[in-house]
Amino acid sequence: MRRLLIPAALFLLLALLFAYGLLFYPQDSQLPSGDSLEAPSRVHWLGTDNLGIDIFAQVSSGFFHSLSIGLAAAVIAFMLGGALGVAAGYAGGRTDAVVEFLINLFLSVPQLPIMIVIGAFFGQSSLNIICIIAAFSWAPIAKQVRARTMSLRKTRYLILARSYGGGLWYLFRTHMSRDIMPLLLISSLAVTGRAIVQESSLAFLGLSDPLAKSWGLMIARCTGFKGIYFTEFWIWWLLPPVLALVLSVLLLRLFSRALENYWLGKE
Amino acid sequence: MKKSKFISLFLIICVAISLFGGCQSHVNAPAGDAGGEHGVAESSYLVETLKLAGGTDWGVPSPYLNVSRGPGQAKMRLVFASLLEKDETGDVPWLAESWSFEGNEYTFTLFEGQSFHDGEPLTTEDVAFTIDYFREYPPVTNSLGVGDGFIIENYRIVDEYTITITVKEANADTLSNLGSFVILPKHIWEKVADPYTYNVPDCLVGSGAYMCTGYEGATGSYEFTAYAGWVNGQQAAERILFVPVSDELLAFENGEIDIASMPADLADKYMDDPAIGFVEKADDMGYKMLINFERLPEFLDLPLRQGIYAALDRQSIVDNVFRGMGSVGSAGYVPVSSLFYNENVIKYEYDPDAAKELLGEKGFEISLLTDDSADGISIAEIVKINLEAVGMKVTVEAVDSASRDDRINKGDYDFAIVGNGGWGNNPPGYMRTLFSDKSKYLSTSPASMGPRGYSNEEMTELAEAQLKETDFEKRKEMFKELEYMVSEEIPLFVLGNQSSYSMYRIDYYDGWMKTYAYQQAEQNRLSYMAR
Amino acid sequence: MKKKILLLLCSFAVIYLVNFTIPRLMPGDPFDYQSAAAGEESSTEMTEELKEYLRSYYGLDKPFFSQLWENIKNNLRGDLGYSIHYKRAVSELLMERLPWTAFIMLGALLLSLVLGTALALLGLRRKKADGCLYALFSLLGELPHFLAGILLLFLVAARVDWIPLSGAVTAFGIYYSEWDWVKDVLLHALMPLAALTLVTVPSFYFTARASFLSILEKPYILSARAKGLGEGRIRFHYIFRNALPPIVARFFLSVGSAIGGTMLIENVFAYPGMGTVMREAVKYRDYPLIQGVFLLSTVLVLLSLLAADLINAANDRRRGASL
Repeated sequence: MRRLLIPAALFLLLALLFAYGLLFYPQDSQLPSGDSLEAPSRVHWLGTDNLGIDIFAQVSSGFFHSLSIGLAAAVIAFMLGGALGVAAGYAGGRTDAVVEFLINLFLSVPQLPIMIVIGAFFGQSSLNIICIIAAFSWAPIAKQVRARTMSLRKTRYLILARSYGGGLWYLFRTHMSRDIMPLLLISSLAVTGRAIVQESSLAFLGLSDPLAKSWGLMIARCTGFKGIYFTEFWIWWLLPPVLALVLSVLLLRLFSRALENYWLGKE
Repeated sequence: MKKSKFISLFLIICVAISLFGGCQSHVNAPAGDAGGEHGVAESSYLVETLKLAGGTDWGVPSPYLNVSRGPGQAKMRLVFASLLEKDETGDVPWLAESWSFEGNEYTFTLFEGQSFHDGEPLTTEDVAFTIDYFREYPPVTNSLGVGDGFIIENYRIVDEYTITITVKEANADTLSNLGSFVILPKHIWEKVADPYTYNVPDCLVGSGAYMCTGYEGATGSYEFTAYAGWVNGQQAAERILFVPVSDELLAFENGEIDIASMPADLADKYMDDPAIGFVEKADDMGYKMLINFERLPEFLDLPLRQGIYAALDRQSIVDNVFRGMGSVGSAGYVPVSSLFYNENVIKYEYDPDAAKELLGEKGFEISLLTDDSADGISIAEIVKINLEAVGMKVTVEAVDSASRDDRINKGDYDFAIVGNGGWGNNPPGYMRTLFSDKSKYLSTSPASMGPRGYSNEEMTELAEAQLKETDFEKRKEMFKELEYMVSEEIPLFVLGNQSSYSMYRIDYYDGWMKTYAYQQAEQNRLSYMAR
Repeated sequence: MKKKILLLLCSFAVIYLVNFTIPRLMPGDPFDYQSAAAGEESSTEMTEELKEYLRSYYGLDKPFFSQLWENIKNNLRGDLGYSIHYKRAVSELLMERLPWTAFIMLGALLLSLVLGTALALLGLRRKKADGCLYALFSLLGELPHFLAGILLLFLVAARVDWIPLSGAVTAFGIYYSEWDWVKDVLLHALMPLAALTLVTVPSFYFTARASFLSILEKPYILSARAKGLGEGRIRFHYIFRNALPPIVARFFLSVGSAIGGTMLIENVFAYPGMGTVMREAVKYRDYPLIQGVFLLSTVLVLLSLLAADLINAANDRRRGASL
């Protein structure tokens, strides 16, 4: 229980800090509010970037950008993976064969290259990024859910319930959801973290929404700044988005792992 | 089974690793120079090497293979010579020692004794062959036109060194166009049926002052060596190297390269240093805003456009985005620092109250298209805030530049921001493709595309007429008149011009120059000649 | 097994088709881009006529299916088309880049395999080390590839003079012996290799650890101990050899994510591999080159998956026989 609460509490703290940065912090995350490359001060907590835009404000808005992309991708993956997994595991036969093929297809494609290709060609809106990430996240979920459903299908109470003519939705709601929901939730939570990483990777390559102050984009801008190596600007320009990214991904991961232990009682 | 698996795994890896190690020898130290000081031979060149930042693959420096952007073109033009070159003030001899023209006939006389890099003499036969060959297979950079637009009617070889070229219709740009196509060696290309894929070493046998002696695409490194058979003057360096660098500035500081661009934010550090020289590219990069009048015909009403200008705080673009290096653009389009600038053009001051009055209570809702570069987005954000302050509603749309160009070409935008280089070029030939109704759809690049849904007969006439005018002063006056008309009519909005600097160490090599027509020191051939 | 191969073939067909279709659906074609010199200092403009000419030259004006058919025929002949931006054969460009990518990727995977297995073995003996390693690798495993690269770049490479910041070899370097060249290459590869290894080691460590632990529970280990065989012999002959197949399978399973990781890390260190060329190709809408990079990486990944399946199948069969 404590292992569950600590990462959750820390993540909440992080979210609160960034919520302050987004809502109450006086500097704007899109517009210059100071000189270029100012060192951290009381006015600019983490200094400014080359355009004079406040870094703390950018990192804060980046947090919610990343998190919302992660959550949105996770929700889509959750629904897609859950529905296809249950349907395949329960129905068997041709449905199962098709879904299994799809799962294997998506598992075998090298993800980053195809994301680059699709991202480059479908344009750089956040919505596209969410869809692309979700499209490559549902397969592992579906695989697990399918296996679990298959084993559940053979249990006596389900066979009995089915013989009374229960529909799939009814059966899922009353008999299977208790087993499958935790599995689904945990895998989706893991998707959130991965999606944040993938979005920032794409942003680093310049393939994410250019208007959003995404962390990957900030990192790319900073590393692309000429002469960054022999100045000290990188300390307040590069490290904040990097640390924010690592920290939030880590906390999410720790949380989902603790949840896994807690719910599924796995070692 | 395990053992064999393991062995095969190892074999695979060994093969993969030896793939690039085993094929060729990498030992390249000059004989007799076994690790000691690099002996500097007496050289007739000003400097032994000039090193520039490389790292990007600009393609094979050959007329059909180079990448079409500036740096690719410039490398090709080191290796391949054209008839004429430009210096600070005008046209100068390059392969042609002298030239003359009358009506549609242009006569060029080549230097005697010039040869291609394989030693074969360069004669008017080659010039004539190149014209025919380019007519059939347009090269990457093509000043002669394509198909029906091919500007040359015919040619007449007078003798081995003299050729007369007849054009279909002479205009102010004809000499420049005829002077700038590069000459191919006939004895090599006459056998080539598909020049677009011809990339055996032969394709680098050029006619220029430098030979391409090393090219590696993956790392973006190039080596050019002075060609001893070049007759028109002396090269400045024995070798020119384009070296991949991790950070241009760091490499310049460490002496790994001899010229670098200076970031605006570090200007203070270098400007005061007497050991460092600069070549300024004044106002060369420019940003404009286009209105799609087909979609927003309301804006054909002039006061609305004046209102937009008054709403824009263009000084803040210069201050915040260009970090002070640049100027608030001239409403007449041609930048302030140009020879052709008209100081009498109308100047629009930032005046939000006046803007509100002019724009009225219409409450326009528009989208503003820009590319996804950092500068493009920052400018769009500033424009958005300015316009919203006077009661418009603006959504910024940022897409990658290819998509942006495509949408502008198709007319799929309300307002759009376009940034491009070359505003400092002389003469400002872009004025024609921007403002003449006859020419504005000829080009498909948004950089020089005129405003959609706007037409102006008087402007068109002037923009076309300047091309026909061969007298320099008269042409300049026509441009100035055109600028004034543009500033008055506002077919588009000039947001700002950005200047940039190349810096170099004066004591090492001081020959970097810009031509009257083109400001890129690194891309001008005369920068590499002893003058 | 046949089903597996069939599945991989089908996957390949689907991916191939998607790869072919997507670029052609999108706005902007390579010639629009070539002629539009936005943001460039010099502009080279193409007239509509020249663009038409080039479109027909590269066959982009033909109907979709005839382009597809042409494409398949050419690919079967080993011809991946002709890069529009670089104006060279795609296969030639890729062969120039592939060795560097393969070097970094295989090098890092091999290094991870050795390190991961060795550390897991160490953990078998020292419970404390195991605990620390487990925690450390749980964290490292979450680190995004490009961040590993960036952190190493700023925290290590930029601080240490003798570590080059980018590239694969010294430009116009002078080498007095073959060994000089190898040293130069290794020095340049140090940072990218380290970055990729850092992120891949954890999965090898976890695989090896799980594999060792499962073997330790096997009855034959107990019987070997009972026979009084030396601990070293047990460790090597029984545990290590029996635990190896899943670890080797992990090697092949990791290729998929390692390819993506290598591409990102290459972009951090400007390493002249497929990742850097892919980014350029995307930037310039160079269809043939994009397709080439993608096709090559897909084939690599699918082949590795097949290899992993083969190993697992063989292993299962052997287990079945020995039981």
